[in-house]
Amino acid sequence: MGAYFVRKLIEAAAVCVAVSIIAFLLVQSTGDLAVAMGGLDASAEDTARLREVYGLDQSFVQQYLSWAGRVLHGDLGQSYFSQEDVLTLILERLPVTATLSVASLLLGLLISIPAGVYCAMKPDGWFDRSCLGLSVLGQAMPSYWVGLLLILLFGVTFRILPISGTQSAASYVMPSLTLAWFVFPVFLRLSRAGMIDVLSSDYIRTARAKGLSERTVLFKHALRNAILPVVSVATVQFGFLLGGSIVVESVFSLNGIGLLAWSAIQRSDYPVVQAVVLIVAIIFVLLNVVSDLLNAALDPRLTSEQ
Amino acid sequence: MTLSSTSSSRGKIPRLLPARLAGRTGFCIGLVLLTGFIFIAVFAPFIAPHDPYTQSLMARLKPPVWAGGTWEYPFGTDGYGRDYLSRLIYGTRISLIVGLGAAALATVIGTTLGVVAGVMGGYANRAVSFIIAIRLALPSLLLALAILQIAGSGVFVVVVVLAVTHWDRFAVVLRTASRQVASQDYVIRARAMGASEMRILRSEIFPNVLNHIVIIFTFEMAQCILAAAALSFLGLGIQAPEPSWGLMMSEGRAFLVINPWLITIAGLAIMLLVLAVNLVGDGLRDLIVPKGRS
Amino acid sequence: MNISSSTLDVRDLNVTIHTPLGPLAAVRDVSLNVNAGETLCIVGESGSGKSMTSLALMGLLPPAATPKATHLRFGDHDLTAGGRHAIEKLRGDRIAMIFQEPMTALNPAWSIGEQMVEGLMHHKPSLSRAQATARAIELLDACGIADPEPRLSQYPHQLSGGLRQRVMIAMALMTEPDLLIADEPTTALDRTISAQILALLKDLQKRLNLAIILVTHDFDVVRDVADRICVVYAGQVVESGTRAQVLGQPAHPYTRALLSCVPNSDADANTRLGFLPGVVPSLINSDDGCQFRARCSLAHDGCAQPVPVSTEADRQTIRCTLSMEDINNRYRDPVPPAAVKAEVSDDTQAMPALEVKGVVQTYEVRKGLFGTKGQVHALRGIDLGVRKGEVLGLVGESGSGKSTLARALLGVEAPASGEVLINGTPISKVDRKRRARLVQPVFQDPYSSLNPRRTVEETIRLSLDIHEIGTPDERRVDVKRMMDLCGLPARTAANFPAQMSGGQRQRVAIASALILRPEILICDEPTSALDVSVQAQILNLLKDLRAEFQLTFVMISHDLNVIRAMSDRVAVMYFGRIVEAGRGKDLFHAPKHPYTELLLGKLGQGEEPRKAVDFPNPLKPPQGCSFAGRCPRAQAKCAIDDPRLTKAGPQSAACHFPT
Repeated sequence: MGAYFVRKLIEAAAVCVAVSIIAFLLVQSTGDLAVAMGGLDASAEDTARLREVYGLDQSFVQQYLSWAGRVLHGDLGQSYFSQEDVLTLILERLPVTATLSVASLLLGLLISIPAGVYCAMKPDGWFDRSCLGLSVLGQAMPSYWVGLLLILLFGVTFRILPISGTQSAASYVMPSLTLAWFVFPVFLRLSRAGMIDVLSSDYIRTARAKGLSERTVLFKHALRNAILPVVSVATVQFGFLLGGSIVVESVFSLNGIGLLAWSAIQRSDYPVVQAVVLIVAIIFVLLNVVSDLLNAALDPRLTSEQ
Repeated sequence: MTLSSTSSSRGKIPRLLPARLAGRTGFCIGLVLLTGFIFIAVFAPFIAPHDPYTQSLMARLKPPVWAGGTWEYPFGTDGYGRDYLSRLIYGTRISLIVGLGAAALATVIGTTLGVVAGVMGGYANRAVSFIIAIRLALPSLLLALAILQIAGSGVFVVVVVLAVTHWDRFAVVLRTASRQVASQDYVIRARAMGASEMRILRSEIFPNVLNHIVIIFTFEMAQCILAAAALSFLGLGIQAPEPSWGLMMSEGRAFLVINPWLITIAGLAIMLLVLAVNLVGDGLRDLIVPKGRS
Repeated sequence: MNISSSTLDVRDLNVTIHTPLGPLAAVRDVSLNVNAGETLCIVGESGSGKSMTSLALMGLLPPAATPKATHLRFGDHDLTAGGRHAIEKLRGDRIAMIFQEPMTALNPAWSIGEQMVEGLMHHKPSLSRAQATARAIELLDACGIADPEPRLSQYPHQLSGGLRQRVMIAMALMTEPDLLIADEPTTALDRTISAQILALLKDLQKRLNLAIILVTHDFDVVRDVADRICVVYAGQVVESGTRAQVLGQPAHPYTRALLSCVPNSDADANTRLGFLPGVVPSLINSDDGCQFRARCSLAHDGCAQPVPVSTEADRQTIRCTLSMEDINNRYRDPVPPAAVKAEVSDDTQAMPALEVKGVVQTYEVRKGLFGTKGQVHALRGIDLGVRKGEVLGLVGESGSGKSTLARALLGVEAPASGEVLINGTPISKVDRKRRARLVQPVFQDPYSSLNPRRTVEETIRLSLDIHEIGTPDERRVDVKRMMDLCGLPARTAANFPAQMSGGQRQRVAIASALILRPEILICDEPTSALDVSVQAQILNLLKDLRAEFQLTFVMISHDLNVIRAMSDRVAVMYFGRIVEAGRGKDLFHAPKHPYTELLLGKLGQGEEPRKAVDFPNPLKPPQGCSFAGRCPRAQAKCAIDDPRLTKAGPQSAACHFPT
């Protein structure tokens, strides 16, 4: 178990380093940073001083190392636009996006897993067909379009839900529904396929041969193995939701990191974009480690040394 | 000795395709829809009633014909008075070109990486695993937006950016598939026959992983169409005045309350196209990989 | 035998499976009974319905299958009226079952202990967990698992296949059932492990007075354990009787033909095996007549009518339109022409066709991107010579390295050290195409050895295309000739592998290997995926081709009978080494290495290991003799000093204390 954990952590760290290099390159590729930092009305001397202070005259590797050093100390630079500390900006917005992601993920899982399991028990039944049809449809609908249709329906026609902002819990209902609709097909298909696969396996036949009740066979022997792939995909999807919330946050004007990143991109405020890319990637990598650990806890095959 | 020995259909026999089509409603619907979209895209200039770029201040925000409009503009007009139906028809071209182009480029990137990793194994495999891990860690939409902002938008850049963010599935699946095929005895047999490694790759391994490529291609094409529309919607994909469906929805947002049809119709168009591609992909998978084991 | 004491009595069991093409009669009119303390073997080839019968008895048929019986009695319970659900009440309690694949039959997510006690606690709710656990420990011990208590907290993946099957047996016996149904319980296991498992079953049966129904295709298993035998063909019982009756004086034409196909201890490289032409008919929409008539030499018009079962002397039954006497008078073993004796030079000085010198092969294993490295020692120093025109048999169990050696002999995988010489030249120095004309392979699995995207003709022609031999027309003629030689009908030329049977596929593989006219053929388990009657066809074909093309063979197999029936000389492999080598007749008659004795079942009484012993870890080979851990005669020296292959009688053996 220990060796397995250490190995996963080393892999995760290597990916983080690689991601940080890409994030660093992203800003490097945008042109002369000293000009960008100083603004258009800065004098030549000011620009030169900025260049010296930030080490922009140094070699590329040196620049990366000193940048990485600052990042490790929590200094992700300042916004070109508002001169605010980037980390502070992100930490302010992160709870909004996290709430949205967690809510939609839970909503998606709570609906799709029981539905998928039920589908697997009666494949090709009417319920199975409807669920599969719904998931094919769900995969084809752009998430922002679903969001806009929800706004039209609940915000404009019935006027029962707020169409933007984060003032109350109700503001999260439509955005969460939108994202949940988006993850539903993924989990439905996974849990359905996993369950069908497990139900046809030899060890389920063994459990039946022992004369166990159908309930024990289903819930004790089948479900746990069928749910394994869902666990790893759920954590990974959570990462995607964090990074992919841009669209939904912009549709509902939710003040999360997605909206922050989008407005930063539009303003060419690259330190903010860089920081969001870096942080979302690191969260994703950490979630993967968590997912590996969860899987290891559920599947004894992964950790033992033969 | 169970059922499988009597009803085994382990191989895939292309000659039986027409017979297997029967009873596959989803696949047939998908094929018909997709053919329709391709037809519209190819013959757009002959089908479209108006020029998609001509603005008319006199004819702004006309409703569709079923909501009180006229047959002059069957789907109404947008905020600049351009014929909505014509823009929708020309938009088919953009969606298909971007979807096909991005998926094709992603196929090349992902297949190459996956097959190299699967067949060579060892260090190549570990290097590709690492690249895949990095690709998955990076928030693709965010990165795509940033690259488009820095490099500028245009059909070509959008295609490249989408390909760079959509090749991972090819690599993951083809690595496993090609490794599995490479360990088959018929590959060792071909080697023992004196076939060169290139020939083995070309005529033993590639034909046997092609079905995976086709299936993932349809899936990723659908994803790329959706992602391209999302980029346009966020204002950083295909730029105005091009009739991109995502852009049309973005423009329609301002008139959400006055004329909801502007976003509804474009959204439906995207949904139908993606649905068609996905149905064809699902159908192909069922045709190639027979369902169930007994 | 007293009928009233039957543990299970079934009459006219039918299982019909509904397929899109029509009803498939998987089991028809099968009657059988088994008594306490008795083993009934249901023996048959693929498609005989033997597994469907056992699943029907357990009530575990897939939903598409419908069982029906006119009489079903279990002990004192008459279950005839209860239908499908009647038996479910007894399942796992009075009737237990073990399956073929020990690797997948246990749930990977639960510990051994949990999986063992749950069934017992379900059927006897009054029992405490401690009591159930105590019984589990007791049974694991009875099933030959050393130190059973810590095993309870282990997970299935931590155990070897043999251990898992022992756990399966222990698990099945938790509720003290009256009847144990074993469906191919040893098919997935190695020969030595399989012998242990069968001995264990017999031992437990004696102690518990258990009735056992054992379903198998393997006549070695039948010979070892059966009290009575049912021979099934295409869903029907064609013959039943005691072991002595069915094996000693088989009556039904199918049983006779099948038994003549089984290579026995009289078989050697110069005789052909028996012959059973044709294939099993489709069971979909089949008629009620004798299903064997299309392949039967005694068939007549009356065979298309339903055939009643007739009881002959001493309760031996046959399902045939002819009486046993008639069959005896009219049946003639199809005597195939004897194989031409191939020229093998006995001159030991002659240059060998193939020579292996100190070949070592290791593989690196690594976990994940930055995991720890390890080395699997697959071949640990192999020396071997194959003379021109001879058949060298290589015997070994899984993990012995025999397939690794095959790839080194083919030159497609370079060894870590040592070299393979072909006609005196190192194979690594031979040009790729030149090498292909010297040595060609035939592999085990006829599914994976043919590219599913090529037709038969394209597959056989491939070598000619690669080597650019002849014009397209000449190639076509050559392919046709080779198909003919290998017994492939010309109409199959355009078929894809998926449209052909396992035996036909193996013929395609052989034709494609021979089209270049190689000198040496490396056959890696060429028949282990095939039924015994098909195996006989393929082995006979190889014997004929050997004479026709003056071939040198390396025949690799885990099956001693196949090796015995094919080889002039034999080498026995264990854990990456050759432990014994010599002429077949010497080695089979008087083995020198205790491992060979174990394989041949010739270890003395009491020397057979009763407790399960594991194979050494290929990541850490032991310092001394690798067989010492399992050897009944191991002494202190064996644990320290690794024996080399030295002369022992007419053959050579790697043992400090050869017999």
